[in-house]
Amino acid sequence: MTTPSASIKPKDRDAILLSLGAGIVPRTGHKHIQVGRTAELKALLADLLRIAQGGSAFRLVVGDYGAGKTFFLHLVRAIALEKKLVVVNADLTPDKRLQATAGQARALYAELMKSMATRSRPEGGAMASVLERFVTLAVSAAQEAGASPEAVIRKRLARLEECVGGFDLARVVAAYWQGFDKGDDRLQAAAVRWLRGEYATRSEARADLGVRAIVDDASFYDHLKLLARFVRMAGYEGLLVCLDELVNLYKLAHTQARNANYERILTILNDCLQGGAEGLGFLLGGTPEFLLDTRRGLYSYPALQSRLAENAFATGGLIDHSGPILRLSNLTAEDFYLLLLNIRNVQAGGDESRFLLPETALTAFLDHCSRQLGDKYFRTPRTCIKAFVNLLAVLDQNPEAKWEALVGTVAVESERDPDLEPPEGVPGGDELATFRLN
Amino acid sequence: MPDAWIPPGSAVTVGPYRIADGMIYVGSDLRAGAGWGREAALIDPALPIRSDEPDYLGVGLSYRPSYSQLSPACRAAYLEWLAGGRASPNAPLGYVFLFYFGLERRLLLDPVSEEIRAAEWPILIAEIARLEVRYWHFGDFRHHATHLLAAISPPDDPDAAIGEPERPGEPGWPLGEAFGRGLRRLAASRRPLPADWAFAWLWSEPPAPLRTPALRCRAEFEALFKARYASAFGPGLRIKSRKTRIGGRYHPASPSLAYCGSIQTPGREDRRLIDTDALRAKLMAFAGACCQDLDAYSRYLGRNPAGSEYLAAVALLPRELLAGHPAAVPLEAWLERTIPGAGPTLVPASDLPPGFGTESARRDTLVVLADLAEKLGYGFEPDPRRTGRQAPAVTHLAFFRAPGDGRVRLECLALALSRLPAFTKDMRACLYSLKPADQKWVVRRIGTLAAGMALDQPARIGLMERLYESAGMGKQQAYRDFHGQICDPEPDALTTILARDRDRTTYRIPDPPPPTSGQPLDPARLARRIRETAEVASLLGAIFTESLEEDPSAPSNDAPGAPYRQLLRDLARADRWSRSDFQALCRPLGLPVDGTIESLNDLAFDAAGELLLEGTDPIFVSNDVLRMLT
Repeated sequence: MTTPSASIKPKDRDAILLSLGAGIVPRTGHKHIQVGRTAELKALLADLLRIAQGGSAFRLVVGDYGAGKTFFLHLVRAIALEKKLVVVNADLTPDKRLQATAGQARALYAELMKSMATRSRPEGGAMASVLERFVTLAVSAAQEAGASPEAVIRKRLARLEECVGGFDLARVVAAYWQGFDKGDDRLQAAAVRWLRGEYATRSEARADLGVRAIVDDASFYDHLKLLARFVRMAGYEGLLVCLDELVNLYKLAHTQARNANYERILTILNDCLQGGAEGLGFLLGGTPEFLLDTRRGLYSYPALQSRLAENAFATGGLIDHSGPILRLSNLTAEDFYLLLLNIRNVQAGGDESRFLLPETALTAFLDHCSRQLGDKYFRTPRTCIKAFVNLLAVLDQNPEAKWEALVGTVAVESERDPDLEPPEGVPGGDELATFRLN
Repeated sequence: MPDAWIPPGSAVTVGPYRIADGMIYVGSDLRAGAGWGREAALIDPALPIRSDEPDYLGVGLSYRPSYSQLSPACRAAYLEWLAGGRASPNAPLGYVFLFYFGLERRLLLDPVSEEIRAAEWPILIAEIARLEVRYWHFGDFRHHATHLLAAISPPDDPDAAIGEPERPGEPGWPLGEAFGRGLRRLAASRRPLPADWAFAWLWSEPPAPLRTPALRCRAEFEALFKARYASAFGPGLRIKSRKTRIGGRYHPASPSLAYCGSIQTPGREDRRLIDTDALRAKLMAFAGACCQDLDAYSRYLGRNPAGSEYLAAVALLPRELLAGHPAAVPLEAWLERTIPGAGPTLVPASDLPPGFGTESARRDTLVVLADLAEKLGYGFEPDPRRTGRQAPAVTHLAFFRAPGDGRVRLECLALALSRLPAFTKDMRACLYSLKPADQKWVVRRIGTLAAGMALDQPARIGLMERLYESAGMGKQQAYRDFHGQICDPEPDALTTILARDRDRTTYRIPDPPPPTSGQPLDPARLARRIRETAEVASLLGAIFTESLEEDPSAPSNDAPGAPYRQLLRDLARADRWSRSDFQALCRPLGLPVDGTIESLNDLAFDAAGELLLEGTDPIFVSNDVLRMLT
């Protein structure tokens, strides 16, 4: 039915099955299970290409609970890595947000830097690699040109200094080089620490590195822009920032805090769409209410409302994927069926002769889910897929077991949408019914 | 003395009163039939008459009076009644009897020749019949008159034609003998009562007062009565005769004829009493229903006496009276032209016929339009009558042809409301006029429709939020539906373009598709998805393996530099290096550890599509890849 990849590496296979069995989105091997969404992927491929060419991109991926936002984000992340982009990603939480005054934005920055991934380090923690790649390139260039590496590095870093906060970043990178050059591991560690946004006070940073600034809440976005330039200088194509669970901003009970975050989104959006950022892309994942709610969502912020409004001509089945909003449709029963086919294929390592279940078994499984969870079982695929992977595991380990006997016994728990719960600390979700003393 | 008799058609003057058509005794001396005293009916011109103050009410009139014993004022009133043609409905029973005594005497006592009898009797009989009807409400008189007529009138042919009924005058004003005879013929021959006869009977029936609508709008009432008569009673009501045949012994009413004995007559088939009670009950119930349907119209006319031609009044008329009504013809033509089929047709408010509008100042006209349209076989939503006369200020109305079943109405309502730019209280009123399940259906339908119209999207979402909350469904559902609709539009979603096209005033909404079968997987969609999935698989396959067939146009900075070549040679010595050993290899070359791993892996990816070095401590070397790099 689908075109299975010739073979699936055992490593990818295990990673996929383990993640799915645990109810989470796998970090690799998405290509083996992705169903549909060609147009959306093409749109994002175009975005990545633009970033690689020194442009910028901004996408808000909107999908309902269970539509596969996170999966899609991870897939795009994997593609970006493959396209030699550096990817940082984080989930927003009440303690990690885009705009704050009590360190929450710095915490988000730190989280992003911790997750920094490259093609060779897809699992994250690639900050040192990126830095050293820069140094390595500079050293090679110096050796070829017969110049001193320090001079080459300084010359290259000079290009950063024209940006906001670029001077300090250049000094920190230079400090890293010095540490490397002199074998001073402490200095190198301090530089990495600074770049990861882990300095909480200026005096500490000044004592360790001699710089007067640190990454703080206010300079969060400026540093991302700087970093984008830097990774390009280190030989990468650009920087992709993936932020998921933006619904946490929607849940902020404090109107001003919420609006400040939306304003930050507006700044980023304007910057990216006007070309103010270089080699930088943003990929945000949120739910429809985060976008559409006219009292608490992005639509409550008039400037964003007009920028994010749907293309008036893209109606009645016509689509336009050029706007900043990328809508993911809900899964259908057909999608779900194909997904099960793909999982079966992954489990068999792409080898048709090792399929554990015939296609009739998949239909029977769908029926079973439908009976247990109701008509819209495919809207919340997490638990069904988990159950399916577990079923495959049992069949795999017990060759004597018959699927006919097992399918009907699989327990599929119904899933609750956490976004339907009232926002934290807001009884009934009514912001007029509560207040906060700051 | 017979000389005192004034025959019919002869005039006589008594005092100031000229009695034109006779049928009375005038003179000074006429013995009573009983043999003593004066004839009660004899008018003695010599007796005083108080013509300046006639006693119309008959105060002091005895039950069986005698002219000679009347007060002068009563005589004046009696003579005036006679001179007036004996028709005043308010005449007291005494005057009627007094006149009737004379007729009785003439018919029963006076010896007359055959010629006179042939000339006079029909006139006298007709007069009694007339009085019988005219003073029907005097039961005693009615009883005597009926029986006298039964005794002396010639037999009637029950199968004879009845012709047109007498045109009734004032309500309760009795009709003549011909009418009564017609009724008796219908009853005797068991023919149905035609509509005009039924109406005439009802209208002239005194003891059953009609309600105001019938009296105020007589023409409309009559038309409605006749229009509905056939559907209510088929060819007509059957009038029943009572079993009692009239005839037998007749006892004269006149005291002057007392003890003259009674007249024995045989019961006659053609003179049966009609069962008026049953007839009256049926006709009054029917008339009551007609009155009820005319109530609104009548009340309107009560408030606006000159408004019978206003559309607002015409709209209140029952359906039967509206068809072809001159005031409704233009609207009917407009509806015929504009609403082509049973499905919903969306009409911009600005395109409504002149005189109708949805602006707040003209909302009442919408109620008129709704009434008129309904009676002409159409309907529209939102229906202002269901929402307590608070017609919402909508931009569009959705029309349908009757009979619009519930679904069509809901669809129309959703269509019209989905065109509103913002939430209004009226909208809530519209929703709350529906059952909860219908509310939810309409709200979701509006959601679907509004999502199909991306113009001014944020405002529409605001609208949806309020609607969903009004229907108790929660805002979250609104976002979901809106989002779902944009991603995956339903096939019947509205895609009307709002721009006005002068030639087209309405937009046809496609009929909803038949419900899909309960099959879990849609083969067409599955095929589409399989195609897309294959496409995406090949797209992704190209991305994740393209490094093997690198784009030749890409800048080639992949050739390992001199230090790397040295390092690669060193690495070939083992496939597992501790980090410190690896560092020892790098340091003399001036290379940092992590940067080196990154660079080498990058080269490896480009050359072999796989990592050369894996792990951070220890570091594993893939020999296959190493061979490809060196």
